[in-house]
Amino acid sequence: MDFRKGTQSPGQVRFFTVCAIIALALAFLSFIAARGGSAAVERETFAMGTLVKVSAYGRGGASLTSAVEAALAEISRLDGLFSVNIPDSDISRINADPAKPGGHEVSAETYELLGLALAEAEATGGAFDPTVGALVSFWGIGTQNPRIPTAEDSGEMAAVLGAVGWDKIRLREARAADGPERPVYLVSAGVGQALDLGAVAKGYAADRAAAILRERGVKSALVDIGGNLAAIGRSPKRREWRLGFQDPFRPRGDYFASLSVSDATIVTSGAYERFVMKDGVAYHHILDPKTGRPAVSDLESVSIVMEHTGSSRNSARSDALSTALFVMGFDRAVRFLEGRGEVQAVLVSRGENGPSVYITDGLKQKVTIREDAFRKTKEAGQ
Amino acid sequence: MTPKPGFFAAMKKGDRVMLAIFALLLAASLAAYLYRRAAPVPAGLVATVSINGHVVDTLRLDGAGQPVRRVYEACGGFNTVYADENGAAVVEADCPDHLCVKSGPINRPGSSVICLPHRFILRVEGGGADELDGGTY
Repeated sequence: MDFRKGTQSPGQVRFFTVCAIIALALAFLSFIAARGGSAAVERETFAMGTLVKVSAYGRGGASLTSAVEAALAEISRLDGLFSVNIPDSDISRINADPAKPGGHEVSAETYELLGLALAEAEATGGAFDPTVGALVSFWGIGTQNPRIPTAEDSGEMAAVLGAVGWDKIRLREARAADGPERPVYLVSAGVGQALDLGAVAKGYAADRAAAILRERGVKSALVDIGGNLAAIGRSPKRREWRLGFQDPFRPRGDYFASLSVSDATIVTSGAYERFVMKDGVAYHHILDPKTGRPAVSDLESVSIVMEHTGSSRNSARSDALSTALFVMGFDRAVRFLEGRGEVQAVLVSRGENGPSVYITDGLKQKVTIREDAFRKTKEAGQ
Repeated sequence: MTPKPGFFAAMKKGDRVMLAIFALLLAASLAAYLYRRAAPVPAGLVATVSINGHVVDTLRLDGAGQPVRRVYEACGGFNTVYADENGAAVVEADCPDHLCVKSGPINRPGSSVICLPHRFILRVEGGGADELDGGTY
């Protein structure tokens, strides 16, 4: 096109200028729209005794797929280290001979997770305790034959309860004989103790899976390990993630509230997930390490929310804390949360007039109640 | 903007080629934009049945079909599903805990019943997507 002076009329120049502007504007809009329709890779599998789903969004289909598969592979690998149902896992080896002289050599991941579990056990005054393994077996939780103890079982139960105690676990880092640069991680427990990381392992795996996705450049993803969520970046819908809180009284997938958040983890514990009915009484799966029985809690569910802060283990912490705060009950849970601004929570209490909801200050602007039955709020001291 | 009479006739060959390219760009950009912006047509409410990560069946919940009762051979056992216009439910199973049966009927998009021992999932989808991206339970 020749725009030399004198070869085009002013009308033609204006016409071509307008055409060019419209074409550029539409090209820009197309680019934006194409970004909105970026690729999605979603994979679902079963691991850690639950349903696992990893969803990642962005450009680069092959690298996105490879990142999601690497995250899933990591979750399966960690399951192989932490599961009490896999005979040669680190935890199974410890449980087979807990007080082995010198301790058991374990992976760096098991060592790190046990360290984290012990820290949370101490912080929560034992409301969360990774040594409840013998109790879990005693009650037959997760097995084909769950057991409701009778009066005749009280002696056995007292013995099992006596073995619970996180302070008997010993962690030691040494240097390998074949190479002083190689660290060796050693773990031992008390006589009769059995470890169970079921209340923290899924969170740890969510942290690791999210870290792998981030390392591979994924900017938008959601890791879901049995409802333990780790959200990376923002939703592919170009807004914050909108994540639901399970209605404790409805089937899974019915949410009473939603949370708008970016780069965060959210974990829930509730008595409604697994329970056994006997003589009209529901026996749920969250055991109180102090009594050895299903926790008598005035809470229906506890959701913990922590924002991502670099290389932290926030999902693992949230996992442990959601169990611990459920065991504590409302009053203790609220006191625990005071002064811990990095830990935000939504607590659902049951009452004669229906459920009431307590939301920590840091979440009040981010949580939207969806069901009218949950609009009643509860404050500290109520 | 209205071109004067003789506007196009006064164009040189190169101008016409450029104009044609502009027109094509406009049309292609507009088509791509409208395609991307087009909202997906909301499907009717359905229940999908997945076993070991694969969708094996889709049952209509919109009342257009007859109620169905189907038995699915899942990993090492079976789950029986009943579905009608009121929702879908696992009504019978030989899993050890029967949590899937105790879950009762589901009918809201996004809700699901999971039978872990059989790696079996019954999930309600469609009928206008829920705005949530996921959920904690």
